[in-house]
Amino acid sequence: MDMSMYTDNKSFYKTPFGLSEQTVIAISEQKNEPGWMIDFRLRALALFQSMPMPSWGPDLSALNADDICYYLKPIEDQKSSWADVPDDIKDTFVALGIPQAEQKYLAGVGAQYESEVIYKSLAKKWKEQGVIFSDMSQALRDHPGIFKRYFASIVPARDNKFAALNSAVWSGGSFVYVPQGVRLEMPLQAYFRMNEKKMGQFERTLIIAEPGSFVHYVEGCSAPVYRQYSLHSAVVELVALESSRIRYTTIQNWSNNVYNLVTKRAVAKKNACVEWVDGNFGSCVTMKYPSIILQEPGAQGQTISIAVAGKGQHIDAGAKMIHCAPHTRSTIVSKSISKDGGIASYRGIAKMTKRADGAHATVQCEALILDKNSQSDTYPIIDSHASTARIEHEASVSAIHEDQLVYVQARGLSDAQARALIVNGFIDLFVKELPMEYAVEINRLIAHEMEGSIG
Amino acid sequence: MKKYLDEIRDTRKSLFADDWRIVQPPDITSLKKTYQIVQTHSSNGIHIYDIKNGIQQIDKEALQFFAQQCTSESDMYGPLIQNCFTSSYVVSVTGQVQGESSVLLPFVSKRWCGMYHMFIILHPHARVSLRWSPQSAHISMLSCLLYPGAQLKLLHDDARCDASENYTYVRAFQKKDTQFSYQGWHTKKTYTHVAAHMQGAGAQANITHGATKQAVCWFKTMQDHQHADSKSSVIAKSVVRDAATVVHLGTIVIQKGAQKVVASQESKHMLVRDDARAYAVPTLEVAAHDVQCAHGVAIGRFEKDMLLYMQSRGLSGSSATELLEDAFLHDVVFKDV
Repeated sequence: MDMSMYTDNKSFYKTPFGLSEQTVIAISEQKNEPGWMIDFRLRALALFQSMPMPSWGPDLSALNADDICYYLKPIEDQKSSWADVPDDIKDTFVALGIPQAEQKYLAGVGAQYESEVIYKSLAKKWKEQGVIFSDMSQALRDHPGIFKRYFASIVPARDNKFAALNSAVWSGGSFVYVPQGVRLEMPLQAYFRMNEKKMGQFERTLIIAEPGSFVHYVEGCSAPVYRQYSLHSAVVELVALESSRIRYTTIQNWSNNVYNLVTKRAVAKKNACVEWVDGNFGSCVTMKYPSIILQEPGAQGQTISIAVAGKGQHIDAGAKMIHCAPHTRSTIVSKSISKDGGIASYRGIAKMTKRADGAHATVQCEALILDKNSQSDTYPIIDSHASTARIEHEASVSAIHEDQLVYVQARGLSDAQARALIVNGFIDLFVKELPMEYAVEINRLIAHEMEGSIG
Repeated sequence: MKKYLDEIRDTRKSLFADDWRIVQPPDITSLKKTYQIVQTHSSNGIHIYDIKNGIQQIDKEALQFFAQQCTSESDMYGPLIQNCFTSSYVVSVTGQVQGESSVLLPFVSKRWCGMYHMFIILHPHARVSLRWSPQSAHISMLSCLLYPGAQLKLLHDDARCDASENYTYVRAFQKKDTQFSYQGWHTKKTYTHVAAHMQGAGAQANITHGATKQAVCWFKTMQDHQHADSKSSVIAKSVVRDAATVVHLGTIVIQKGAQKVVASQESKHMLVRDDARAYAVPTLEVAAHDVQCAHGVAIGRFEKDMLLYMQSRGLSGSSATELLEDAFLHDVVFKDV
């Protein structure tokens, strides 16, 4: 990521720096929201102000809530086609290689530029099937009933300090509703972008899968490099109703000056399945623990994540699985690579409540440390109240060992090629879970991240 | 002092439903007078002194080490014991002691809780096997200093203890080529914290912990690798019966520059009854890259197939369960308990 990716945009509306009731009301008025949402935002603001900063995890002392712009609307209206998107914004996407890489998927893209979704279109057949894929503000206007029913039902404002912050100042994000029995074969995709220094981005995503439906949502993030700190604090809520399946793929590539503090949570009902696929690259601090509440019998959850922490980065990521019903199953696979003095941490919970008879959870953490200045930490919690449930957890930390290198080099590869091959093998499980276009992008990103680290 | 008591209460309240109380002696001064009369015991190269005589027997480095122990504010339990102790002892080992030596604490009334601080020094190449088996309710701290080449085996059990709950904190500071082994076996409500600080190359620590029948078993381990080429392992196993809870908080720390370290941690717990609970937090903090470090946790119950297999050989249900439990705990249980 370099400065060339930054383009000089003209903002349309921007709140002053800092957080106050006036800012929150201004955001709400700008969006022409109903009274209950203004009340919700103000209550969340009071919660945010009353809650202390987390005393655990990475250092957040450099984060100053008064030094952030909480709302910025880049263009006046939503554009209905790619051709209508202004050139300067397009240029930034082009710099990231998005249109070229995902041309065939653009029909389903809701691309977020700063705080508003500026481009979206929905494939015709999906619309006919009753699928709703819009930005959150539009969903609040067009589908108030279903919106109010599920909004903040999984992640309430009081959940944590940054969920409260997001609840107070949220703008943008995607709303997806998949009706009963509808299975979307192509992933829905949205690129989230931040392009204003000190710009906070507080999108909120809500996905509801009705019984028997399936949706794969792909979220990618990237940002140009700035000297001053930016804050990204999103909330993602997934509701998987009976026998439905939601797959949520994130490829996060924030620039190394972004604080990425995200709350992601899903509820899986009877025989439903939720999968988080989470790639964490970039950012100076990431705190992200996608969780799944397996609420009814037969529900399944899976989290596959990878974190790459480089110089000056602390990636504190993990997963939570809460088994609340019999015969639920969950798997967590977490891989991390730390290099150039970076810190990669896994923090997670696998919990069996008393009702989780016959449930099964597996947690697997693997860490690779590439040099002597880097660090890898693991902080898992394994808690079982159910005697018939099973939990297995294993973790290992290691380096690239000499015998591995010798074995690969004996097949004719150079030292650098051998190291790259071993790293690629290490993350292979994650890459395999991605759509082809993203797999290519991740391989490119890994190669870029590893430059200099592995020859 | 109140601060530390409150901290302990808060920690436990957050973990356990039952209300565990520290029973503090009402008059510490009178207890000190009663129990500081210690039987001075010297045989086979093992010397036990009360603190007053003990500090005259130990060298400057050990004295400095103990002074640090008594002033350290970094650990919340240390100051509690240092300020509330009823008795302090120095155990000095100079040779290779054959057999097993017992350290039995004086009996304290059931109403009160004894607080002890033991300083155990193993001089170079000394070797000893100590059994720590207090007879009454106690909160104890064992600070062990192992000089190069020393070997300490500490057997900790509560078989002789008439109290329903106990707290023990064991810390070992290991120099070059030392071996520290801790074996704990508990059948009562216990809180045990074992920390091995490996400060020299070739230092090895092996910690095993087994528990059964207890209401609450809280076990905390720390494998602190401060130096390269050190090794450690932890095995914690329990069979959780009744409405019991077992907690294992295990931490492996590999500090910067501590290359070639091999560390492992294994935590396995069997829940026998529906209202049993197991809670494990296996933590790794690794700041060196050329290491082998792993941990594993498994919580579950004995498979019905296993029971059926044994019952088909003529064993009753309870005998089959007992046999499985014995086999499961085989590598952590004391053979003579």
